[in-house]
Amino acid sequence: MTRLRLAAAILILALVSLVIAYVQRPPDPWTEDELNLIQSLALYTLPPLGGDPTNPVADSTQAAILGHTIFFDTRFSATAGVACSTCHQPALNFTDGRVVSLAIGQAKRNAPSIIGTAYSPWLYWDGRKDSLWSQALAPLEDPDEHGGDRLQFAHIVYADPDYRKTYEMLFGPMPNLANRQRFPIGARAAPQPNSLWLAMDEADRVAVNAVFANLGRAIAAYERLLLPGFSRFDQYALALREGYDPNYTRLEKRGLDLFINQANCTQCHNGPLFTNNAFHNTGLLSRPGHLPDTGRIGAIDSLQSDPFNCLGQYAADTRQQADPVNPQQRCAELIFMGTGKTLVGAFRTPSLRNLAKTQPYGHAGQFENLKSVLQHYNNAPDAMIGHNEAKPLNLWPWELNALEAFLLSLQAPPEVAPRWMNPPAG
Amino acid sequence: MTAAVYLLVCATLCQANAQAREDHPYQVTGTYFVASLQPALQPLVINQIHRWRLQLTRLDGSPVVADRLQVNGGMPAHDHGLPTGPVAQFTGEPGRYTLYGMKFHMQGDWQIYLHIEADDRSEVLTLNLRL
Ligand code: HEC
Ligand code: HEC
Ligand SMILES: [Cu+2]
Repeated sequence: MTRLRLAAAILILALVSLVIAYVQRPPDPWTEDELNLIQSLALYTLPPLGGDPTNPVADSTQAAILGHTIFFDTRFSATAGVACSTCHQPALNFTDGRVVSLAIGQAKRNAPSIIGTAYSPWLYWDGRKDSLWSQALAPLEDPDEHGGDRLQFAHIVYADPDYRKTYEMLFGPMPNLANRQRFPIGARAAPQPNSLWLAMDEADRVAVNAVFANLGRAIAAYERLLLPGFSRFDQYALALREGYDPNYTRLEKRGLDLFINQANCTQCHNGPLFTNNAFHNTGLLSRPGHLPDTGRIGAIDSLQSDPFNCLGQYAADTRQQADPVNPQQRCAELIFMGTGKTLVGAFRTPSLRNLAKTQPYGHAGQFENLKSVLQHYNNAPDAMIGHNEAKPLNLWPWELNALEAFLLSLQAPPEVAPRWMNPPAG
Repeated sequence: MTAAVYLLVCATLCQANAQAREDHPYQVTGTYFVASLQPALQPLVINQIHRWRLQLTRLDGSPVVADRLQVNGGMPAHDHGLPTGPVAQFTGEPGRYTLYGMKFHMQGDWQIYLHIEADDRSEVLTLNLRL
């Protein structure tokens, strides 16, 4: 009798595993459309970074060296204790492992990775900056982050022979910052201009702003070297294309299948960086105890009025205007920026490459791990503000596991020379 | 269900403008006006801002200078618009316009709407586009 029960139990177990194995079967062979979609996600389809017409030193190694040094230099802060690398740590794929960042004060959002962001027309979760160099200026003066001031930074560069030499080689002579009458210590332009700053000559203020913008350009030149590496998924895509034996598990293939088909992830996480760099409301809860973040809609005004945006006087283009048939018109993204109610509570789609070291996830670190992100997509709750674009997936737990396995197959160390991954020597 | 209906409708309409090549612009014929549209980006891929050429005529082929011309679009199945706010600009040549700031951020079925006011008439021309 017990033996019969045991046999029956084994039979049922075998049947159940068969059914699971069947629904989880890898989708081989892929259809033509699927193959094309898979290729469009492969890293080797990422075009080389285009130039930045507002940053003449974007591809200068000297500028990258200067930017790299500043990135790790804690002197560029109010406390001499904060650098970009405080919150963008190379070992954590240029994040900080915190729910929201912490330096002098607490930031409002989670620190995203910097890898591959040089490809985005918008920076920050709400895209309130339209170039890497302009973005780099903001944390330097944010009272919760570096808390410093542009004139302070100009003085640091002026007084340091190495900094000054590289700076002047790249951008020409600095203003005569030794003249403390014209460039008084303690004059602050941000967050609110103080009386010392306002008392300065207009031309001197412009000159300091220009130095500040150039420091951002050097940092951007460094950040442009921070690119993602070749992952197991890319290897699989290549194997499919070249027709050799792929080293990719059934579970990963099933996850990829869900990712591009049933789960609709490629609606937003598309292209070789797994992001369309556009703004979507995906219904995340607000940070506990805080009002919902308005996201993109709250960034439109500040973008338009930002003196360091693509149309501002510090972005003056030294080169020729783009060819009229060339689709890359200068500042086109800013000029033809989209607005409207769908941007309420919308955030920029993040890249999904190399997620293993960047938890927690979400714009305010709402998700401790990938499982909780996937659970969120599976339920797709109503948004607190605006409208959640994602629809409930109603996937089975083992399907969520497959999706997670796929996401982890996008893990790869960044494709960055070791010298740039560490603080500068000496 | 709505998706199924949409697919059915699209199956009959969308193929009308399968692929625009340099010499084969997309054509949309309305009650009063005809638009012939040509993306400057070839092949037309997602996530790149670019411009389109537009030629606007009457049914008899004569060029139209519109009193007002607006362009927008979106994905009906996803209930969202274009990621950008494109602008139609008159080139100075009768009937010829440039649509600046065109961009698509997803694969799938899109619609582009041209709101035309000319000859004391107004008409919305809809282009179905699969990316
Ligand atoms: C106190 C921690 C902190 C410091 C210091 C800091 N950042 Fe950030 N960084 C953040 C946070 C938080 C965000 C996201 C903020 C938001 O989206 O509103 C961010 C966003 C960014 C982004 C945008 C990435 C993307 O995908 O949109 C870049 C690039 C960046 N930081 C570079 C820098 C540079 C360069 C410095 C030094 C000049 C720096 N950060 C200093 C915390 C920090
Ligand atoms: C409608 C567009 C859209 C779709 C569809 C979508 N995502 Fe996202 N994804 C986003 C946006 C936007 C964020 C950032 C949300 C936020 O922080 O408010 C995000 C965040 C994430 C994150 C967190 C990454 C990080 O660094 O914080 C993961 C992981 C993720 N998505 C995976 C997926 C997967 C897997 C799917 C398919 C099941 C999917 N997404 C579908 C737009 C989308
Ligand atoms: Cu869509």
